[in-house]
Amino acid sequence: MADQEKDITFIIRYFDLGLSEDELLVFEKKIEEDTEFAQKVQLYQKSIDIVEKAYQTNADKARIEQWKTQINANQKAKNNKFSWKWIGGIAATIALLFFGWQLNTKSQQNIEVALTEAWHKKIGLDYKSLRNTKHDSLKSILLTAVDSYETEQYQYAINTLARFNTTIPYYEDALLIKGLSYYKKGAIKKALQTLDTLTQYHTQRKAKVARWYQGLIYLETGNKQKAKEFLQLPNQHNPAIQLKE
Amino acid sequence: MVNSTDVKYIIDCAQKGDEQPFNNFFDSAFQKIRTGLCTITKSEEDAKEVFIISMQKFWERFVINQEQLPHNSIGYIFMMCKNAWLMQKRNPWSSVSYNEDTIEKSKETLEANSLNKEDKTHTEEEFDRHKALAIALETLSPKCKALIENELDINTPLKELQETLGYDTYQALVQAKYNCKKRLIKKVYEVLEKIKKRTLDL
Repeated sequence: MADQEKDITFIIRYFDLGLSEDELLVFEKKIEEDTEFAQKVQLYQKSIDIVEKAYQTNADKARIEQWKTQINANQKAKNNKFSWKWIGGIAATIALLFFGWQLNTKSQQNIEVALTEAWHKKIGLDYKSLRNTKHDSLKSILLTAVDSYETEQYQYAINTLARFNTTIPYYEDALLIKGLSYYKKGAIKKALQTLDTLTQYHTQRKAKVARWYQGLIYLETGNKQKAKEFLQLPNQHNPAIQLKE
Repeated sequence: MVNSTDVKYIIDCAQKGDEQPFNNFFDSAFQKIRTGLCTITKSEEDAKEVFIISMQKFWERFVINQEQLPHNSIGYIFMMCKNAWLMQKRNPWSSVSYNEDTIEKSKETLEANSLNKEDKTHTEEEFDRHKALAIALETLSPKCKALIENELDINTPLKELQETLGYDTYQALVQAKYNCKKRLIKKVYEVLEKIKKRTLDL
């Protein structure tokens, strides 16, 4: 019964949009893995829809309509302002395009090589010292997950680390392996969210490593702008990717 | 940067009936988080929808229900948007306001779900919904029931209930109505759960 109440409280907080980053990850995971919980969420959504449909206030409806008009009007005004800037910029852009294209092709090749080398470094994934110390059950689980990651069994690695939470030692390592596993299996958003949690985590033990991989993921998925927030990209002085301090 | 004192002032004005500062805050908040939001939603339209949902919830929680303001309102609103985005991805037909379009889409989803899952007809589903609401309403206190049902009473403005129901201020009345609605939602959920269990047991 206490678990039922806990679930409902969690669900209510979700619908109040009151979950933290960590809690959102836990909630998302719980919906995917716990069918009963997912059904409760769906049923609660249904309950909200029933009551809102019957009793949404006219004042609320009017406020929302006003906000919709406001947000679109402001966006239109901004777009008009920008259009003149664009007209002025086009002429200069055409001239620069050809020169830029030439530079870009060469720089892209450098980045691809540097990316491969950066992943190959396996920063933060050296668990040799952990293997050499006395074993306990949590270490075993973590090392199983690391091995699964190394052998490209990404879902298995994620499942193995399911029980790790903020109260358990090696939580930061679990987040790292999970984040990287999510990325390797194509769940980019989830990977970045997990690594972001690790970056923000209060111990900061793996924060730098998390930022490193966040940068690599952004770079590899074509978001160079975002990658630059985390990394120093290759240049004429240094062909390697480095973490931005 | 909008500091907590500014937001407190904005909330106070809204509670007194002056919504303009809040509308200005709405604009400035959107400008601040728009880029980050578009990165998450990958679509300007979705970003706007999610932002409006979040601000509606922000209004409910901090203007109506007078919850303690977060230290960083803009950061908190961004976090609310992330919550709202997850909700939108899971339930694309949920909307902040109901119009004919939304109701039609809800009906389609309802029919599709009923055909796939429990072999219930659309009529049976509608009946269950009405039944759940009716039963849940009866569990509320007379005060709560009066507040909720006032919504459908075009002849009696809410303010008139303040003295009748014994609230010191209009704000207290509005807050009470909000909490009654939340209670009603939970009751509807409990009734729907019982109906579902009964259906599975048959």
